[in-house]
Amino acid sequence: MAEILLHLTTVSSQLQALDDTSDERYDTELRDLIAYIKQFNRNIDSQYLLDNLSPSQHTLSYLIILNLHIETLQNQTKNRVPDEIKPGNDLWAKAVYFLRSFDPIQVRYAGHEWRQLVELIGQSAEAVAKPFLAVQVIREALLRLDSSGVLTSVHITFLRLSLISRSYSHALPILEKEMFRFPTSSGQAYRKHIERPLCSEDTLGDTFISDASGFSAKLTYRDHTSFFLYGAMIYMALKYWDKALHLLTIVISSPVNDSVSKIMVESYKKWVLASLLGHGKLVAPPKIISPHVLKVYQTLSKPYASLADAFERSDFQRLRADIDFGRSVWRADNNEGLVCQLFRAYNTFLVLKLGRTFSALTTADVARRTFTSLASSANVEEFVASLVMSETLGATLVHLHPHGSATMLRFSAPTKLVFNKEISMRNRLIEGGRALRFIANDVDQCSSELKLGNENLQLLSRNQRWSDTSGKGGGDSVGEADGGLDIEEDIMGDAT
Amino acid sequence: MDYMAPDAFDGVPSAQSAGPVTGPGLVDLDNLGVNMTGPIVKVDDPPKFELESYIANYTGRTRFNRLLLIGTCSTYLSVEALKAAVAEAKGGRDVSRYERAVRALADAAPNDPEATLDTNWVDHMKKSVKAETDRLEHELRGYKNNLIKESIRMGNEDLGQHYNQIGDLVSASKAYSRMRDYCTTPTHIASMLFKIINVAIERGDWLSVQSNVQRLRNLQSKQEEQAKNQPKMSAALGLSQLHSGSYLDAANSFLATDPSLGDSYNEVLTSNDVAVYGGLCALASMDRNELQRRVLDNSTFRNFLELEPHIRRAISFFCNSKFRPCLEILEAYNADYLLDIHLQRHIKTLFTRIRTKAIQQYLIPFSRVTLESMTKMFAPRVVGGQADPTDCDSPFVQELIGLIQDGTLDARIDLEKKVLVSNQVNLRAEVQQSVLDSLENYAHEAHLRILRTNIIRAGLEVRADDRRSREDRSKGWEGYGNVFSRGSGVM
Repeated sequence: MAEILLHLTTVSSQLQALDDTSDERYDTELRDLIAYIKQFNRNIDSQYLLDNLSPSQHTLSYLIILNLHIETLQNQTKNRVPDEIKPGNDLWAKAVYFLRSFDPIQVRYAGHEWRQLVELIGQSAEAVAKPFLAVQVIREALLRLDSSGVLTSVHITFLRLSLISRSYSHALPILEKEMFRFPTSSGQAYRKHIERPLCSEDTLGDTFISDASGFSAKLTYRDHTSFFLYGAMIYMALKYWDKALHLLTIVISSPVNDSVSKIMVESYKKWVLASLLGHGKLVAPPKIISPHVLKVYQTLSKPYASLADAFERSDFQRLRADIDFGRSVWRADNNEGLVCQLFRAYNTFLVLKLGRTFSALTTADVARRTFTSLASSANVEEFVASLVMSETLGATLVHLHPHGSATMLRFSAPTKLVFNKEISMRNRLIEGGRALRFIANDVDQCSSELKLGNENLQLLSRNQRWSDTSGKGGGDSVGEADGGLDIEEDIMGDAT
Repeated sequence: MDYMAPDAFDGVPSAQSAGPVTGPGLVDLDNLGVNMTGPIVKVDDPPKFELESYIANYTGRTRFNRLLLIGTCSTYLSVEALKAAVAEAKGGRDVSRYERAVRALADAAPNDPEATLDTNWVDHMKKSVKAETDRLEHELRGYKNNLIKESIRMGNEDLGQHYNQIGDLVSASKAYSRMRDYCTTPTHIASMLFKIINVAIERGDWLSVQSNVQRLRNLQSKQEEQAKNQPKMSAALGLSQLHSGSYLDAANSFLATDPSLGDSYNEVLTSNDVAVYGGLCALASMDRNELQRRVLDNSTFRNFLELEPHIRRAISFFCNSKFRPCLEILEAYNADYLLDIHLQRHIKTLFTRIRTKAIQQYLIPFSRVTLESMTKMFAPRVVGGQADPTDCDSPFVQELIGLIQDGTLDARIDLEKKVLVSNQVNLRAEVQQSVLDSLENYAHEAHLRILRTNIIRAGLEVRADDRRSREDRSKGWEGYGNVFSRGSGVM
């Protein structure tokens, strides 16, 4: 046993030493190591090895042996989630320790095992009804892995767990990384010629996370739509309406082939509510939704449309009637909580609207103008005060002595120049610029993958010239699909 | 010889057939005073004009229409105007008009000897009209048998004129438009089109007026012919634009009217009318510079303005930012305008627009204005009547609130200090905000589209059948290669 341990540790220390040398060497060494570990039979003393290996240095060995160990346990107890892995026990601690400290480069070679471990952690935390325990662990594991915009099934599991455990703000670090891609085998053909070894620092998430690598289970349309819906629900719980709206927009505008999924319809309903709560009106649906899909949504969400209409027209009586009338609908759709917030949002937007017409008026006037549940002037004062405190509204309240108990509400100027604001604006601009660069980069990559990149277009136009001189027949065959890939490799050869 | 392409008139039959069905947009001017669907406007103030001399300016059927309108709307001139209307109708051959005028007079002055129907005259006229119709139609049939173009044209013209006289406007415009096949010279065509336009104006068929004016304009005729027709054409076009609510176009048309119009178009409107309509439309739709440049400094339109000096004064007051006198002049003439057959329906909108523009112009130099001074300027009557003229509920403040809410005024009301504060624009902050907004929009849109592309490439579209998605997914890449390389072949 000690012999094996010695081998494993020497390989790892060799790898440490190799850090400066070529990626290719590192790559072959790691592959050899995996082959070596995989030939173990199941009877080795995994406990001993685990105790003596360090997860951060011997990530690969540790992970594979840990998995072997768990598998053996599972076979022995005939239980998917053996007791030892449950929170508080030895294996749980080991797994958590591993997930917090693994080496993100080495783990690329064992995606399948990694996912198994993460999923098991989730399951066992759920089994003891403490999903929160898994949330933080999985979050750190995901952040360490850095999938750079590739959606995996682990992400979906993670969001589901955070929703169940109501640990919304813990999910934000993951949600804030925008998802662009999906693990596929299809993109691989394109990258064959530029492929770097898996271990290279420059290899991005979209390369090492593929169908074959096992970091993600097979995804279906249900997975990606529910991922964004979960994300939106988390944002809505935190009242980040804009972000929630964006994610919901993604769901409702996801491409459809022949039918609309129920997840999308649910998202549309939530989208209506979120846009009312966030903007006080129904925002325009994104243009890329095809009209027939939009029609399907509209026919399936009539009560919401009527609600939105009443809200937009500032018709409080109708709004209240609609909310009462559709109570069973909201409950069936699990949107009761959101609908309840409409009252407050309605008042907020009315007061904000008054701020555009008046620069100062008494609370009695406010009460008269906003025909809502908070009719008395004292209630209004309280409400407005809460708005001012939450910085939704830039205004001050002044008690007027000569006018008895009247309170004057004075709105601040719409664009008041504050020096502080200038600095924060600068930061926001820089941040926005960074986000823009990031997304522009992705757009470029996407278009080159779609063969719409500059080089490819240039090549095609050159081809066109050839075909003009050499006659039609030849040019056509070059343009055909089968020839396409060869040409693709050609230009890359030229470019490098 | 036919001067017009045969298909040039293709639009006419449909326009004509649409004519008799008086749509919601078309108001039959002939029935205006009596059968009007909306509430009848009642004008109690005495107008500034002398009825005698006013009506003497007009000829033809518009005299009766105007008299009847004044008679039914003005309480002050009611009897006098209606008596004139009865006399006017009796001088003509239109029985239904006579009956209408007498009925209206009976409502206004039941004891007047003229308020009873002269049945003898009615019977006699009915018979004579019938005979005349038969005779003309018979003649026309005869001409048609003889196949002489000129005779058929004249026969139709006579018939149209007859129908026009007896008040059967639909038949009249039908008869006139039947003339078109038999017109042989541009002059004939022009005179026919003018007849159609006149009937259409009386019927309130403004679409037909516009299309026929367009036809007149496209007519290839001699230079001097065109010059002769131009004033009438512009006036008719302006009138139709006024009625369709496009006041700026109407102002432009009236401003382009040549002063040679004189009293040549008295069967529809006088030069004074052109001045009033054009001036009001311009006031309502142009800014101060434009008014100065295009109305006051306009040497041709000056001829019209000299006929109606009050309009000229109002416009120059407006240009000099003296809004109170300007509005006062217009208010003083309100009764006159309300008794005008063409202005009646529009004067309220025109006044509101002028007033709104005045308020806007008034606010430009100020960063804050007391509500009190504004009330003095724009609602002086309220000041005396109400305890607190600048209260939140006073009509003037309500008006301001309405203007702010629909975005006309960029200002806010301070009810504590009773001032109107104009919004200060901080360009720097605005630009920064708009940059942030567009950044965010772009990022969201790009994210949405990249995701969409990648979803499709990964074969993850929503579909009823899950099995197929896997097949497509494996084929996906080749599929795209195909599409794009084929597309590129076209480049």
